[in-house]
Amino acid sequence: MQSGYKARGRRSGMTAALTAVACCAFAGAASAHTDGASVATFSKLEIALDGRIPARCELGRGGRIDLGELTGGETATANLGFECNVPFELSFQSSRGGLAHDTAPNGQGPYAGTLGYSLDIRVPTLNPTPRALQASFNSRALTSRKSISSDGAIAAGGARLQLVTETPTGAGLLAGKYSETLTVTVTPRF
Amino acid sequence: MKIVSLLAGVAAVALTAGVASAQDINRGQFTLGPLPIIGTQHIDVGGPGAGNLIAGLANNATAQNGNSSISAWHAFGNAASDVGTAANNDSATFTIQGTISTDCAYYSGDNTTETFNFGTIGIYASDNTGPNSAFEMVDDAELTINTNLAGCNSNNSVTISRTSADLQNPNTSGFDNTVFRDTLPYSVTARYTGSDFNTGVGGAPVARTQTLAAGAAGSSVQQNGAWRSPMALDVVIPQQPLAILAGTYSGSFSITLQTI
Repeated sequence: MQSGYKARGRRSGMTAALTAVACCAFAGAASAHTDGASVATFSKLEIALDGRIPARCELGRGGRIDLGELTGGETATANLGFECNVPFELSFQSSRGGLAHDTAPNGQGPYAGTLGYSLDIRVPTLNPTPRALQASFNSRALTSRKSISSDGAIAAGGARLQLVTETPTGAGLLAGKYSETLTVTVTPRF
Repeated sequence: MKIVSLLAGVAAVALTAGVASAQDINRGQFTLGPLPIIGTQHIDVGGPGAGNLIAGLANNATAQNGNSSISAWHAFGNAASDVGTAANNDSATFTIQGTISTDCAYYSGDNTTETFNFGTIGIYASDNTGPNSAFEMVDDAELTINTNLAGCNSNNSVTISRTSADLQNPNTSGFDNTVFRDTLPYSVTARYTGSDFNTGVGGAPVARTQTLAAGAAGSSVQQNGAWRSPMALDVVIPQQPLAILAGTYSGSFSITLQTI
């Protein structure tokens, strides 16, 4: 049994390690007889059982989120498959600092070429009581990788990401296609 | 507000089924002896491999036979291996996309056609006017049309065009064409702040003065990158050196903003 954590009943590997003692009585040793009395003897067999549960941290695959026509305030929610049976660190990184125009990310004339967004993260955890790991980032800040730590907790299953686009300012956004790549990485910390 | 929900993958526990080869337990011992000199020997049985499996099965059978002359114990067991790969690091990638449609704007109120009437275009009509000036225009006729919203959010062209080069007079009167004329040429100049066309990068604004000259046929076209600014259209009917035939003069021109 992993210290401090409840072993969840899923068929994923070895059973928890435990030590058990089995005592068996065998009529094997010679018995002593004195003046008609008998003395019981016994043999003892100790059996030690051990196994291991490997550390496992896995994320579900990402996906494609199409926000359609960008007018500002678009919201997208992604429920991400996430399992980690040891304390962990989740990292987030944006490739372009926001949704960027395919060919003119710096814009043209008075029209901007990048639309920023906010990213809210919520991860249910166990420590051993249920809690939630939460954080918020702006897409511009995510151009350098940002991490959040579970502080000793393990994942309770799943993670939720919510993205909300900013409202374009000034003349608005340059016409065209916009895209962004957001990478989520989990690293065990134990 | 648009809400898009995406179920991003599944947790590791739901990976493809099919238990991999187990981490098998095959181990035991049996007793030989007591033998002369060396006494009782405990012989190990089991281990990985087919040969050891056969020996293990035999020893296991002995270990369950209470009538056997050989003491033996044996353990068989296994535990399912990991389903999937127990990765140390893992990552998920989201691709987020959206579009902005091309659009041009020219604010002209609730309609796209406007008519402007100069009224009487002044001419020298007095008997006291010298013969060189009689029936000639007193001065230019001018008109400026302003809007505070014009532009396009992508590469575009601004075109000034007209069906005829001059204002036309349908008066059927004959006239001496060395003295009179029955058309009035006019120019149209568009003034606005544009940008450099198709550079792929943002740049400084570019002041544009685009003119369709008086008497010129065809159109005036200026290409721009995305721009947005007020726009002024200056229409000038210049004073003519010839006398002007009486009648109503009319014409039309268009200003078109179009994405490329």
